[in-house]
Formats: sequence, C-alpha cells, structure tokens
Amino acid sequence: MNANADRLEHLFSRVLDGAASRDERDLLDTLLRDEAVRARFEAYAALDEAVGSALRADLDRAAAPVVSRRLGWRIRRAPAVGVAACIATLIWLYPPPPATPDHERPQQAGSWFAPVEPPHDAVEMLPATFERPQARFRGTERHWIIVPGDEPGQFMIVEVDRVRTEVTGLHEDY
Amino acid sequence: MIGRLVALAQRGDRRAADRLVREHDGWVRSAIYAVIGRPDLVDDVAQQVWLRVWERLDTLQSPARLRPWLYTIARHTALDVGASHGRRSGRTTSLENVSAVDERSERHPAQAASRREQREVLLAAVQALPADYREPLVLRHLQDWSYAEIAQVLNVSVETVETRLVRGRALLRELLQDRVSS
Repeated sequence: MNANADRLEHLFSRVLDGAASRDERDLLDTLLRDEAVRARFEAYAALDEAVGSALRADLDRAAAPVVSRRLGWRIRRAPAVGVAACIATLIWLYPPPPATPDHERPQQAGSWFAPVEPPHDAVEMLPATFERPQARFRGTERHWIIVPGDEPGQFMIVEVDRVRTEVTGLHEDY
Repeated sequence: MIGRLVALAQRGDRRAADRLVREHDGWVRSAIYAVIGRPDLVDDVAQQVWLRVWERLDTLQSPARLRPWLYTIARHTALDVGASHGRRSGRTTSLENVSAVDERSERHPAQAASRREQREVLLAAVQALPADYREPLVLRHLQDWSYAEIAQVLNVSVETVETRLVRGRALLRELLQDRVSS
C-alpha cells in the first residue's frame, strides 16, 4: 500500500468511526468529487457496515433463545397460577365425597384396547391429625401445590422446583 | 462516581455490586466475544468472569482502572475457555439458532441463504484476524466506543487503536478477496 492510499484509508476509517475533525470531513468531501475515491470509500463503508451488522447479529443470535425461553416461562406462569387457583377453589367449595366400599362402586366402562386408567391427578384427603395441608395433588405435572389457608377463600400456593425422576423396569428378555 | 461504586462493592454492598454488573456486563460480553469468537460460550464465560471479579475485587487498587482491570480478567477467562473448547476456526451454529433466523426470512429462502452465507464468510474472516486487530474492531462495532475508550480498556495509546483499526480493516479486505478469488 503506498503512502497516499494509506493516508486515504486512515481518513476513511476516522470518518466512519466518528473520530474525524471538521477539517478532515471537509477534506474527504473534496476528495469524494473524484469518482475513483468515491467508489473506494463506498466499498470501504459498505464492508465496514456489513461486518458490524454480522457481528451484532452473531452475538444477538446466541442471546435470543435464552430471552424467549424466559419470556415464555413468564407468559405461561400467569395462566398456570390462575388455573391452579380455580382448581383449589373448586376443591374448597366441593370437597370429594367420602370413599365408598368396592362392592358399592358402579362398574366402569372399559375394553381390552382402552382400559380405564385411574385419574392422574387424584386428590387425597389426609388424616385428620394433620391440620394442614388438607388437600394436595398427587402424580401431577404441576409445579404448584395449593394449600387451603385458615379462612375460607384463603389459599397458599407453594412453588415446587421439582426434579422429576422416572423408574424404568429392566427385563431380561434374552 | 465509579470509584464510589467500586469502594461500596468492595465493602460488600450488594446493591453496588448489582449495579456494577448491570453497567458493565454488556461490554464485558462483547469483549469475551471479541476474544473467543463463540457466541454460544459467551454466557458461560461471563459467569466465570463475574465470579473471578468478586473473588479479586479487593485487589483492585485504583477504581478508575476498573475497565482495563475487568477487560484483563475477561480476556484471560475467555482465553482459558477458548483453549479448552477451541476457538472458532470453522463457523458452526446450532440448529435452534438457524431455524430462528430462517423463520424471520422464510418468504425469500434463497435470499436468506445467500445473506447467511455472506455473513458466515464475513465472520470467518473476522475470526481469522490476529487478536491485536480483531479485538479493537469487534469492540468498535459492538460497543460503538471511541478510540479513547478502546485505548483505555486495551491499555494502549489512542494512536495504536487507530492504526490497528485501519490495518485490521485492510487485512479483512485482503482475507475476503482471497476467499472470493479461491
């Protein structure tokens, strides 16, 4: 690179970086009247802009999924709390009937292909010795436990940060 | 102002420490990215950087030198992680990220693919620059810092920053020309 070209690139660089003085900007304006210099400056500026936007996009792209996941959790959280509160209210207002003996229970419909499965979210009443909690959810996917408070209409919501584990049976089929 | 904030953080003031992180985390991440060139590792390295910062905050004698001090920690941490993971030589990205970008430009897939390819070539050329040229160039673009601000962080003179930016851009152009011609 010759000295003139080197000086010209310094000038381009200073103008693009916002470091040029008024005199330097005026000098560049004068030089840009030359078509060759103008084409060179435009190419220089275009490459610089392309590099800048590529770098910003690359760094933003890594951060984006994290932000959206967090946002998604915040969005899902409010309806989850609402649904949980509704279920708790229903349980409070309409407690489950006392357990009936097996022989008095009506026959449940089912077939070989679609056997009746026990309800997944079974509500279990705890012995009377426990003052609280009076009701809880079992076998649930929810991360919330709703516990009725001392007063009717009062509930406590317990957030459970649960690590789910699964038991897998091992069979020696061979 | 910054001196008071650092002094409070050194005395264990939680609010001051939080503010310190909030005010400096953005550029620290840019600095990490400038060194390591792997956006997928920036979060992990940033966490390690702030851990090291809290461990060593008492050793910072002059709070006015916070930025260069932070940069040194960020740079060394990024280099350590880079050594274990391998700095990005060939461009890689996760499928999750690619689909997120593609969704936005689904209407013109050919254009989007071409743009993505162009961007990958540009980023590969930036990553191929020597660190002395790459780091000021990335900081200039991501943080929009003045020469003086970059010089303070890199602990070099303003003239050196200017020269490195000009040479970095020239070298980048040469690298891209080589790629195009090959």
